[in-house]
Amino acid sequence: MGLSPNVGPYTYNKLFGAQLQESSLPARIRLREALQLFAQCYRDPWEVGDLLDRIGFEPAQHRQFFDTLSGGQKRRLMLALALLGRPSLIILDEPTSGLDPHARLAMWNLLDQAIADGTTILMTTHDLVEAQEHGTTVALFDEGKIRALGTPQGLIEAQSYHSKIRIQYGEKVHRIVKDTSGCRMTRQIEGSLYGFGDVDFALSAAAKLRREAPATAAQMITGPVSLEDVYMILTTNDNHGDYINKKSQEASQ
Amino acid sequence: MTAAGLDCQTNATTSSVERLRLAWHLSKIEVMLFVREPSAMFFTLLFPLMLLIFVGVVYGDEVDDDGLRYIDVYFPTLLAAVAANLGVMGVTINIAESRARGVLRRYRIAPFPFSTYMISQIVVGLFMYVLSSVSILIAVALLYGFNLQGSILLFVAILLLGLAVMMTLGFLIGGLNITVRTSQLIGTVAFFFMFFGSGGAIPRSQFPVWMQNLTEVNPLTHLSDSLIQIYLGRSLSAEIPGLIGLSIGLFMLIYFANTFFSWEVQP
Repeated sequence: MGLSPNVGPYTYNKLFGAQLQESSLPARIRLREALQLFAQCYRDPWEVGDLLDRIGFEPAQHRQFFDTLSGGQKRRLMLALALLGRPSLIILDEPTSGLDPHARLAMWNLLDQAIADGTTILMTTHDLVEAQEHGTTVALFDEGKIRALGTPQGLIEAQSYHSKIRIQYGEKVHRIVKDTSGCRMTRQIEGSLYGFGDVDFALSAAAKLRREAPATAAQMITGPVSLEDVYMILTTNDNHGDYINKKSQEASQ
Repeated sequence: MTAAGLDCQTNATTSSVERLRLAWHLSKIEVMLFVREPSAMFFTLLFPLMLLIFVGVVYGDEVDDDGLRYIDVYFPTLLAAVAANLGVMGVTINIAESRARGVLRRYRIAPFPFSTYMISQIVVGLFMYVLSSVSILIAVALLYGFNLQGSILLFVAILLLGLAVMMTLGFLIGGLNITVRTSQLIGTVAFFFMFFGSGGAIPRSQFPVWMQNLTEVNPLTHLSDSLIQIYLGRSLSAEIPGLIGLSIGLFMLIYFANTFFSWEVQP
C-alpha cells in the first residue's frame, strides 16, 4: 500500500478492515452504537443502519446489547466492523469457524458481495472446502511454511490425480485399492487409507471393495480430488505412512 | 512512494482535532456503558455515602483538642480516598477486563490511538468522580454543614491533580500484560496500602516514626493532607514539596503507563 511499517499501527490500521478470531466489544454496547462509534475512525463509512441490514440484523435488533448476540451474530457484527470503512483490503482470521451452515452461508454472501465490489480479502481458514470454493489464490501452510501457492484448481491439477477414495486402513483394503486399475498413489494418513488415481479409478476401486471386502465398503468416500486432499498429500511425511507411488515404481522398472 | 501510496497516507493521517473528535465519541460511549453497569453505579454513588454515614454517625460531630470537628478532617480525606479507589481499583479493573475480553484489541485495530482511549477513560473517571464527590458534598452539607475555609479553586485544582495521579496509576497497573486477577490484586493492595498509609483510618501521628517516614512516599498522604489544609483554611506551605512530588510523579506515571500499556493479552 506504499507505506512503511514505521508509520505506526495507527496509520496503517486505517488502510484495511480486520476481523480477528478473538476480539470483542463491551458487553452493554448496542449494535448501532458500536458501529456508529467505529464509523468515526473513517472518512467515508457505510451508513450504519444499511450495513446492519445487509449483514442480516432486523431493525429491532439494532438496539440489542452485544452480549445478547449468539456466536454467529457476534461474528457477523465483527465482519461489519471490518467492512465499515469501505477498505480496499480486508483481513479475516477464520471468519466462519464455529458458525452453523446458515450463518456460514450468510457470511459468505456478504464476503462475496464485498469481493464483487472490488474488495480484496486476505483470510486464514482451516476449512479447505471454503478455500477451494471461494479462494482465488490459496497458500497452503504447514509448520509455518508455504507448501504450495496457486489457484485452487491449479493446485489440484498439479497433482495429476483426478479421483480419490478414502477408507479405513487395513492390509486387505490397501492391497485391493493399490491393485485397482488407474491407481497412482496410496497413502495411510491418520488411520485412513487414501487412494488417488485416474478419473475412473475411485469408482473402480469402490466396486472392487464392495465385491471383495463388503464389510468395509460402507465407510468409504469417493469423489474428485479436492484441495483438502492436496493438503493431505503435501503435508504428510512419507515416514508417517505407507507410501507407494505406483507411477514412480513403474518408471523405475 | 507510489501515487496510490501517497493517497493512502493522506487519508490515513489524522490530525489532533480528529483524535479529539474520536476521543469525544469514545468518551460518550464509555460514560453510557458505565451508567448501564449497576454495580459500578452502586460503588460510585452509594459506597462513599455509606462510608460517610457510618463514620459520620460515630465520630462526625466529635471535636478534638484544637477545636476541629472530625467531619472537617474526614470529608477531604474521604474525597481523596474516593479518588484513589476510583483510579487505582476502578480504572485498573476496567482496563484489565477490557483487555481480557478482547475489547482493547478491537479498539486498536479500529484504530483508536492510545491517547484517545486514555482520554475516554479520564472522562469516564471524571464523570464518576463528579457524581461521587457531589453526592458526598450534598450529604456533608445537609448533615454537618459545608465548612470550606480556604480557596475552593485551589481545593478543586489539587483534587484534580490527585485524581489524575490515581487514574494514571490505575492506567499503569491495568495496562500491564498480566491477568485480570493479578491486576485486581495489585490494585486492591495498592489502594489499601495508600488508604491506611495516608491516615485514612488511623491518624498518621499515631504511627511509629519509621512508618511515618515510609508513608511520606504515599501519594494519597500528600493529597489528603493538602486537601485538609485547604479545607481548614491553613497554610499549604508544608505540603508544597509533596505537591511537587505528585506533579513529577504524574508525568512519570504517564510515561510509564504509555510505555508499558498492552492492548492485548500476550503470552
